[in-house]
Amino acid sequence: MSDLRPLLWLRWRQLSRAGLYWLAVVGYDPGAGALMDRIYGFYVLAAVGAIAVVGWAGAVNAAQQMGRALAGTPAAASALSSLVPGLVLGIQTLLLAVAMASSPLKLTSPDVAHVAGAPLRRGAVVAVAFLRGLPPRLLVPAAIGDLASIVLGGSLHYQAAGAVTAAALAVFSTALAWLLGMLRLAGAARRRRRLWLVPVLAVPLLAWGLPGFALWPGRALAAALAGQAPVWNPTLLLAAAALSAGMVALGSRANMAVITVESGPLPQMAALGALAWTDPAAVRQIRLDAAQAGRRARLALPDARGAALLPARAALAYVRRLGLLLPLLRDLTLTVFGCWVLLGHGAGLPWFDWVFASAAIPPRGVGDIFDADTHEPFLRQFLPVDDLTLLLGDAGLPALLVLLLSVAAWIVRRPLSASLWSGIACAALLVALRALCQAVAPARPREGAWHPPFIAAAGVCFGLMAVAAVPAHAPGFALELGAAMVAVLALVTARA
Amino acid sequence: MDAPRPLLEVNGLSHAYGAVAALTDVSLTIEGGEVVALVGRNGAGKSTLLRCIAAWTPGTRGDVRILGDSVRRNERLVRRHALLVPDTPPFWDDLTVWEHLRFVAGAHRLGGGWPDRAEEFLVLFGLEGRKEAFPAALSRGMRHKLALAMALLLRPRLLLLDEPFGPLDPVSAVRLWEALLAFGAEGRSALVSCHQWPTEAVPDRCIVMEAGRVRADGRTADLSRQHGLAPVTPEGLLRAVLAEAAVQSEPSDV
Repeated sequence: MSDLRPLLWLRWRQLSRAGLYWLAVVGYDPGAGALMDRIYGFYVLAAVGAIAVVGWAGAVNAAQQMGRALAGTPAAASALSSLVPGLVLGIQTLLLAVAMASSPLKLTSPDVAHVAGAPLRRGAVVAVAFLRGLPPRLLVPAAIGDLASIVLGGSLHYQAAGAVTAAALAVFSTALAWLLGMLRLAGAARRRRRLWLVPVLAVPLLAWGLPGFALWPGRALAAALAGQAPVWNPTLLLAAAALSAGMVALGSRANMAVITVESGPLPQMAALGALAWTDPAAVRQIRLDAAQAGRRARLALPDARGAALLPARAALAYVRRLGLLLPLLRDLTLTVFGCWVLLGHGAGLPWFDWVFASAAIPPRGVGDIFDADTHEPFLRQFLPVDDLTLLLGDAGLPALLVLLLSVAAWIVRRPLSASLWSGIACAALLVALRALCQAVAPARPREGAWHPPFIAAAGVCFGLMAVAAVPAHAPGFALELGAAMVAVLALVTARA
Repeated sequence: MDAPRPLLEVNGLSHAYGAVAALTDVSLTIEGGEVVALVGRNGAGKSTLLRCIAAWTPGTRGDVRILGDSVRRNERLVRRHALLVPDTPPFWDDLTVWEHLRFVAGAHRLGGGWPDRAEEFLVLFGLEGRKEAFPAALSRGMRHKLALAMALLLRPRLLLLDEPFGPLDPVSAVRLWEALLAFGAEGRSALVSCHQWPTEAVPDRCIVMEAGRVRADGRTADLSRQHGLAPVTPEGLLRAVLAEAAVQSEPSDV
């Protein structure tokens, strides 16, 4: 108890300082005391409140509409309810795997200095850290549970039961994950980080062998959402409390040095403050550096010379950094979506949405390597080729992969009125156009950031193609237009 | 018969960041085989000058020529001859230390002797034990050494170094200085901007910059003699030139 007091005081100080920082970010200084400052503070508070109320009202309205639609189809509602236990088990498995891969308790830079190195009981440190994360762990699942109960049930009793059970389930699942994480950090296996595979393999086996036990928490939630359970589920609450107590007890034996190491890049990211939101690329780079620093090189750079070395290096980069596959999937989705929009011949296709998405989302999956080469003049000076050759070398292989997968998707599900060859041509043009738009846009297309040059280039190219194909009903002309734009942009890139 | 062209000619170069002038009417030439020190206080325009010479930043006025070719008109050709190593160089995240050197050598189709030279540079900078490491695992000094090894491996006609000695340990700083002297002996040139020079380093020539202008330019020994300095150091020269400029700019009592 004596250790809890300074820790809670420290957390309160950190919380109030963080609050002051974020108020300063939005331009409010609570210490100023002037009337205009107070009015501005009230305005900020009112604006945040209004956004929260309007957002919640919108979500409730959408849930009610879905609930009304489901009310007419009991079979669909029942099928949806039956998914809940499996979904809960999946989330629990993910939480367990994450807690086994890396310490669930993360320390920031001040924590490392003032908490990890201080003669405090480690159980108290773990308890306070767990309590600190509790509000979002209660609020978010409670809100989701509330909305889900509106969709599946509708009455006020359903909503209360859904919200309370979802919140209790979240605490239960997190405490279970922390318990396993602390077990690893307290034991001899703390450095075996491959242990994350254990829950991934064991939980499905448990669900198969003992479904009643493994799926019990999810079934309790499903029953609460369907209005077949009381608001308070004593078994779940007791289990959550017991797991939390066990987690704190095990936490008192956890190794703080390992926890500090496993906090990884969090101290750096926490130090970014608002910059972490305005410049996601900085966070991405910190994460990447942290991942690469402790990694051994997989495969080797192929023995090639001249421009042939570029695709070899690009292939190696994709093998070594699997995180690039996710943006590649996004590029694939946009390409397939584009083929449907341009060749679908259907009125009412969301062509404007496609143009907006294509212009707003840069092709990071295809163009990440080219982006790194051209954005940094230090690296660019070591590459003795023009921009077009560099683009072909860097983005050629991932673009080919996206093209092949797009064609496969087109073969499997294409509109009856469209030909196979037009789909292949369209996919090839869209992949090439997106990559070339990135090459001619002078700003670096980064994750989560707006880049007017790329938006302008992609907006004009895809906008013209979409207008030709959909409102003007001339998909053939849209493809010809696309081919002409590819030629022009390639020429511009080569001469850049 | 035409006189041989200087390796680098900077004529009336100016550059501004918005309303702030970083360079004002800078002119200088560098001949082959010279190792030139560029000294000046923070914000004097040294890094901007290096960036303009390397064609990383276009000057707002004036011209930069390398072997007679204008950087502005023929940037790609000129880039073959000049390489700039900035104070915080970036790297390819997915390549190891050795792969960086292999990639650079392969992309430039260097001859068969490059692995030995690359190995020499790694040993010179004490990186031989970190060949399989990714740049993210290296300290700031080691990252700088890798950038220097990449640049020296290509043996450009003109090497531009921004604060190369700052991140290095004293032993590596002296080794870099010796490597630069050997580089100059091959008829190649280096323009080195730095605040902290190794004690052993006496460059052939010093260019002193202040407020975006060249305040002094000449043989280091001549400039030192002119200012009554002994021993000869770029830092001492900078202090002497700035002190003289301050005296000249003081208002007269008359």
